[in-house]
Amino acid sequence: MDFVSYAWVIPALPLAAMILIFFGTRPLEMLARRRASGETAGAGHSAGHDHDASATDAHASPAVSAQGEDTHGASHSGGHSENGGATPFWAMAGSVIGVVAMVLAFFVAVGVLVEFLTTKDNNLIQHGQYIFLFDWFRFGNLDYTIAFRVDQLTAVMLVVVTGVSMLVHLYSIGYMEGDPGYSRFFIELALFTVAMLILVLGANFLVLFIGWELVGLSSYLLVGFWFDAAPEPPGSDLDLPYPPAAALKAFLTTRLGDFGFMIGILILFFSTGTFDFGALNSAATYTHVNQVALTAAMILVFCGAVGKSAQFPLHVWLPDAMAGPTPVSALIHAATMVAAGVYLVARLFPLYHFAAGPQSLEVVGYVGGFTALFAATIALVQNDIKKVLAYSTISQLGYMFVGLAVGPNNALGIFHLFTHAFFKALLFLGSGAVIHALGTQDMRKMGGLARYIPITAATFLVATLSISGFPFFAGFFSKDPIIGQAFDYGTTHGGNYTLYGLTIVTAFLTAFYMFRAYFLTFGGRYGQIAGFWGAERAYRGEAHPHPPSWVMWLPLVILAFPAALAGYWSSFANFLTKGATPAVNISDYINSAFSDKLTLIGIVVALAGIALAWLMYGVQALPAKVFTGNPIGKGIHALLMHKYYMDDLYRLIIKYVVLGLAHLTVLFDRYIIDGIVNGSGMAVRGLGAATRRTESGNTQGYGAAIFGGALIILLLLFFAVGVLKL
Amino acid sequence: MSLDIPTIAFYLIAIVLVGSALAVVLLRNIVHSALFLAVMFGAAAGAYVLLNAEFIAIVQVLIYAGAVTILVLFAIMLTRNAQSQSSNPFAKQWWLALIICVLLGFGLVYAVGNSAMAVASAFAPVHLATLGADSGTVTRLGQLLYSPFVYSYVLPFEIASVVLLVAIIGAIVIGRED
Amino acid sequence: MVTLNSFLVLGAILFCIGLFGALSKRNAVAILMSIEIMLNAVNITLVGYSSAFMGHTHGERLTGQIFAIFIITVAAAEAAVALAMIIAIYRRRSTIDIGEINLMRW
Repeated sequence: MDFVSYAWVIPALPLAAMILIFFGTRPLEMLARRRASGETAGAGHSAGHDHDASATDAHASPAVSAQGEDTHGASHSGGHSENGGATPFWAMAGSVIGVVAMVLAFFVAVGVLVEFLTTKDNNLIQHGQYIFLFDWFRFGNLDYTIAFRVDQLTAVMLVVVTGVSMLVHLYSIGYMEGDPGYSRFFIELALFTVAMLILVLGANFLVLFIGWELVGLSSYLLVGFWFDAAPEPPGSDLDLPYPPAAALKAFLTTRLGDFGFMIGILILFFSTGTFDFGALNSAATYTHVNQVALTAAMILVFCGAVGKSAQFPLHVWLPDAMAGPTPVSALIHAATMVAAGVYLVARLFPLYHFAAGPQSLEVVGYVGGFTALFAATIALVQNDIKKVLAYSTISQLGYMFVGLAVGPNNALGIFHLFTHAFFKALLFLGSGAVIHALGTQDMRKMGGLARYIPITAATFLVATLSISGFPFFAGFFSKDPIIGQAFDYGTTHGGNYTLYGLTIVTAFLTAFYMFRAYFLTFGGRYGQIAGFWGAERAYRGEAHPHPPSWVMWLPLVILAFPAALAGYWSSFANFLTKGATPAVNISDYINSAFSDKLTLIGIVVALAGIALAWLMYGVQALPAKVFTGNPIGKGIHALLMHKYYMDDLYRLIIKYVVLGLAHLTVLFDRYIIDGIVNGSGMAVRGLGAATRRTESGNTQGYGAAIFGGALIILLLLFFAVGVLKL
Repeated sequence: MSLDIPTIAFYLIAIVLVGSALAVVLLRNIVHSALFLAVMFGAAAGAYVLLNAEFIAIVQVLIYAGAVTILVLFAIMLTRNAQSQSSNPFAKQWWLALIICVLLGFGLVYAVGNSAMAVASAFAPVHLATLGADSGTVTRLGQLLYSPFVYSYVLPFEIASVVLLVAIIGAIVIGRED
Repeated sequence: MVTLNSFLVLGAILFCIGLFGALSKRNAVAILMSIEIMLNAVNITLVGYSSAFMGHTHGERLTGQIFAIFIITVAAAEAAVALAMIIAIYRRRSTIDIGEINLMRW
């Protein structure tokens, strides 16, 4: 069947779901809610009770608020088992519509991928399928078309986006159960999915940019989903962001990068005269372009990617974006949207690699490498499970950029994107299950949870092994080639092994902090299998953990398979490069992965990280005091706890530079703009005061003015005709 | 300049017209003004006769010289102010009005003398010689005003009757004592 | 020789006399009379044109006379309404001096 030509169905399905929920089930739900609240007025446990009530209930419950650890996220996700009630029927119907639409979309996306894998049509392989939607406008000989292009890269992204989105939709039924904004959540989730699919399907910059901004918008909406949550109670050191502020921060920080992105697009457009990716990436186009302009343009485009993919120095929004519901973090801030920057660079890879100067990819690589290490170090000391994962995401995105920068094609980075999407989504969904079970996201209040929620623990362990680069897991097959390629890159670039050093150290840190998170959450002392499977005694919290429902654990189990096995797609590079690189069969693939000395170093490093985490947190043989006891260690710890003071630095910049400029603008506004406005007002008033004297009420005066005017016109006509001979 | 009867008649009528108009404007007694207005209306009727517009002339006599003059006299009678010495004074800015009117008059006369229409009038003199010979214009005028079959001004004519009705009612409403 | 020009000039002079009266008199009835002079001046002009272009070469051009009839109609209506207003004003303010009727003053 011709799936590729019908790829437009994929974004159309969630769009239809969104419209159905928005105009169909949500109004019905609200009507039903009004009816219910009319019947059970005063009953706080009705399905329709408002959101503030649930927040105060959670705060009032002694088990939670007495600890001072209550969080707004927890008060919604964890606390609703006591006071949230069931999901209303129509809201549930809406979410089922969303899930069904996503399942269908996923199957179409898989069909597209399979068609690309099996096709013999060389034209399709080389150029993909162009799907024309409509002409936006025509301008001279320039066509601004809204069109999709499906090629191998898009096909991979489609499967990732629809797959993760489908599972997140399903998971959210359990996670968001009873939330007052349940329907709104699914609307926004569907909106995000549509936007992300438009982004990856776009055949030109215009369509991509529409998707790019729409995902930013839906990210804003979803991070600020609990916009009426109470601010963080004083005394908490988790540094939980206030959702509306976090949403704004995410939106504005990303916009900073988009500024460069837009300029980059325009430079590219003015240099080449086209927005179309196919045309841009063809040598026929870019060989005629000034290389300096092209390099600048590519670096500016990368600015957009820096913002969207939360790379240094615009990474600050992603940890705060964890204020959103955890499924959102899994979908948007781990698997898909933040990967859009990587996708963008990969999409323009020929421009970066062949057309622009080497500086552009060097910028990509060094920003990525530095960010990977930078974020990994911060992740070492986080106590919030979601924060660990957020910094881990930033770090892994850095890996992807390194992969793009050092690789001979875009397969390395995209392969890591592909595997990362699964195991990071799994990690986030697993952490969501933990938060849902406990009502807190503070890892110091966890421990030994493997006994209570074994499915979550097992799947989380799979993902942790994968991200740590443990052999035979997906992350190993995608991350180790990047590290190896970074070494080769150093060799070919005059022995500059900076990128290799950054990535290998990051690999160690990644293994360490991920297993630290695992042990703190699920494992711990006294547990089975040397602490990997924690005991009840290791549990440090008070709330009784309750296991997740099937809608929540089923996505975890499903995701565990790609998280473990996605790395065995041996001919990924061959597929993505349209056959430019040779296909590899699976045994050669595994053999080559282990025959390399560099790979062995990588494995050793990863195992060392795991071992250190095990020593410190698994069996607790090595107390953290060893590192933080001395003044230097203490200083570093404080530095990391404060995230290198980046937020404070930005706060200072905003306080003094931005607000200073704002004050100047206010002065300008007050004295120049207002001066002009008020001045014109005064002028009109003066003119009115002067001219009202003529309004004497003397009709004969008016008549005289009329005929005097006629006379003047007559005289002017005479003058024009008689003297000027007009 | 040949002094045939129509020419003499024209100048006589013109002198009476201008003279009575000036009298209307300049006289200090409003009743005298009103009487000269009647004279002026009659002279205008004469001018229409000279122009072969008998119907207009008769209408002029009936409506203007008859009805409007009586109306004006009624109004004067009803608004008589015993205290004022002059019943028809000038306003303060009469000199300004004079300047405007004189200049406008010169301008109009100059324009009439130099316009394309004046050139047209050179080959189309008013045929005053046919004075009283043919009065067919009344029939034609009647057809033009309210023929239902040929092109006519029947709709404006009907509207004009509505205007008159409105004016009658309006005058009664405004003028009645309340 | 009486031509169209003669009537046009006559109409212009009458119009200006009427205008002078309308702009310079203080008695409202006198102003109304002046306006009637102006309307008659216009009628003379229109009928003059109508007659000038009537004949074998031009066919019957009676439009000017039709206009004159309508002007007379409207003038009659105007006179009736205006005089009624003058009487109403006089009844209320005991004057018809338009220098003192200045409700439109700022």
